[in-house]
Amino acid sequence: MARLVALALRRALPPWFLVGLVALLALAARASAGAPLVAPAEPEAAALRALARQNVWSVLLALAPLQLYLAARLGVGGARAWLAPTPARAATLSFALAAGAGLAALATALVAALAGELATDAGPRAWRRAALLDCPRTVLMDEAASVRWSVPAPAPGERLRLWVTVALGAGPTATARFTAHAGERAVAVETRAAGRTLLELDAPSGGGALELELERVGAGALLVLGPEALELLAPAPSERLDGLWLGARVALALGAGGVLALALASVLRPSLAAALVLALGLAAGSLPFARAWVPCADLPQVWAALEHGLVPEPVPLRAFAGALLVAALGVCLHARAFRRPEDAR
Amino acid sequence: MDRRPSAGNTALPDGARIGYGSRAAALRGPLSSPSPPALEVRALTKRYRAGWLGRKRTALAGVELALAPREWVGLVGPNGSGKSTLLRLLAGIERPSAGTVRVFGAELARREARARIGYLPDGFPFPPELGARAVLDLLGSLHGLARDVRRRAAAELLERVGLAAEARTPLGRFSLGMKRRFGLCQALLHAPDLLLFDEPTIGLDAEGHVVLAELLDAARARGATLLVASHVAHDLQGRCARTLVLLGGRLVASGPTEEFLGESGRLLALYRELAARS
Repeated sequence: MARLVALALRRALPPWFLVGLVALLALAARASAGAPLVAPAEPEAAALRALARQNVWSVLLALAPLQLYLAARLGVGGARAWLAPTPARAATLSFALAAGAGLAALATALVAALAGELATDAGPRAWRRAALLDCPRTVLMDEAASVRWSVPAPAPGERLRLWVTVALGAGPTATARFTAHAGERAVAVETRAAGRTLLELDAPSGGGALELELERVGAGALLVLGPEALELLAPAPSERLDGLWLGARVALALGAGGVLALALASVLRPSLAAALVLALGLAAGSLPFARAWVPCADLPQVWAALEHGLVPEPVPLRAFAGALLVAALGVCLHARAFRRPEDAR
Repeated sequence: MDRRPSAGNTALPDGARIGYGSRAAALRGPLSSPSPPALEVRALTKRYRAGWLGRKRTALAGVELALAPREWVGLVGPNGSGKSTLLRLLAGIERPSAGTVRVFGAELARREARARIGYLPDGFPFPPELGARAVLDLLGSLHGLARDVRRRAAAELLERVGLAAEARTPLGRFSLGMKRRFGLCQALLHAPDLLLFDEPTIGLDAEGHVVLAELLDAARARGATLLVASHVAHDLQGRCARTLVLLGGRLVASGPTEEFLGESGRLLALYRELAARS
């Protein structure tokens, strides 16, 4: 059994693929290793590090169809021609092949995670989005240059992040001041806003609700507060969790998809099986009721979190369950196709 | 060359039989029962869908066949007559559209039935990236042979077919003749009681023919049953007591090999004559 798993792993992850993957990952890591011309502030630096990680992970995502194809090749009739005459159970053979495909997906995700983390430094502090807070939708102009609202008091150590957008008025930019009042204590941050700009401050600790105020200081462009503009950030253990959560999502998606492709390849060409699995994954990921069960369906949100310098959310348990279900379905389908003549009766 | 077994010729896989693991022995079941045929095929039919319109094509139609234990039978027929399809069905690689296959009384679906089959395919489906020893070890483990038994049997078989020096060479680098020799090794590794050989002499050089003859003699000496498909009458003469003729997916004749093939072994004349009759 272990030997067959090892053989399946070797066939799903052939040396040429592994060498090519490592070379491309190294190139991607090197391409994003340059120092910026201007030393960025911490949120921008975190975003730059996230960009470097995205570069590396993009390589693996681009190669995902090829990996699915390699997994699908395990399930073609060629394997049956030499495995079927043995007395081994069809379910055992299918499970071993599926385990090999799953391990190949895990190995590629691990290699990409290692490359991504070796290519980037960990920031001094890592943050994750704890909640989206209520925020009024408004436009700050000369006549109404500020807006105040209150939110529940955050926990100590948490941070507020406010996104403002500039609409062209008397100039392309505007000065924005964001203040948080907790009783007598107040913390403020002021910046020149252009385009979409974030204002971040450590929430002051104090009893009761937190009073927030956004002001447009002086003349300039209009300031727009749009939907989902205020985020509550909580400290995360490390930015290295980026690689872990991205890797887990990709490994689950490629592993489950690979097993399904392997099963479909018993009745389809491997290339068609891989394409069908991709299409099914995309279709399921776009269905509101199914997306929570698809491991990589939240990849756009994860990508956005990375762009904003945040550690993505852990893999939802339902995505784990969904991947296991798909893999189990793949093993059953493959074993059914592998069965000996009279088994089908 | 006399291909009949000689008294002093001990089969290589005999050593492997002595040392079967308990799982392998359990799979094989009792070998002493003489009553059931080694191979019993009833109304075996295979239909394929072929072409753009998926039209059904019958590759085998109602094949009935029985081989007694220790019987050696040849299977001849022109290209496309269904010989390889029949052997693939008997080896459990393909699923029949209808009919049953029993091996020593057990249905082919049962593990103990498959454990007694040694199949030599006409192609080479084995993983090209692995070495001969590694594939034999894997197949031996799937057959339930104990580790030391399968390693010893693999080493002895590789030595016997002249591949010992290439035991670690990836199979993909083997020549056609080496691939056929390896095919013999994997078919005989677990000392099967029923041998299904598809064109065993294709690609073999003169030495390979001798090796094949020795291995077959050894298998006969330990009481194996053989069904061998071949295009070469010489492969069957002196070795198979009975020959079956397959034409257009139907078994059209069965009889003594020497009577069918004659001294000259003119298969073409036989096919024409049988086709004309049918």
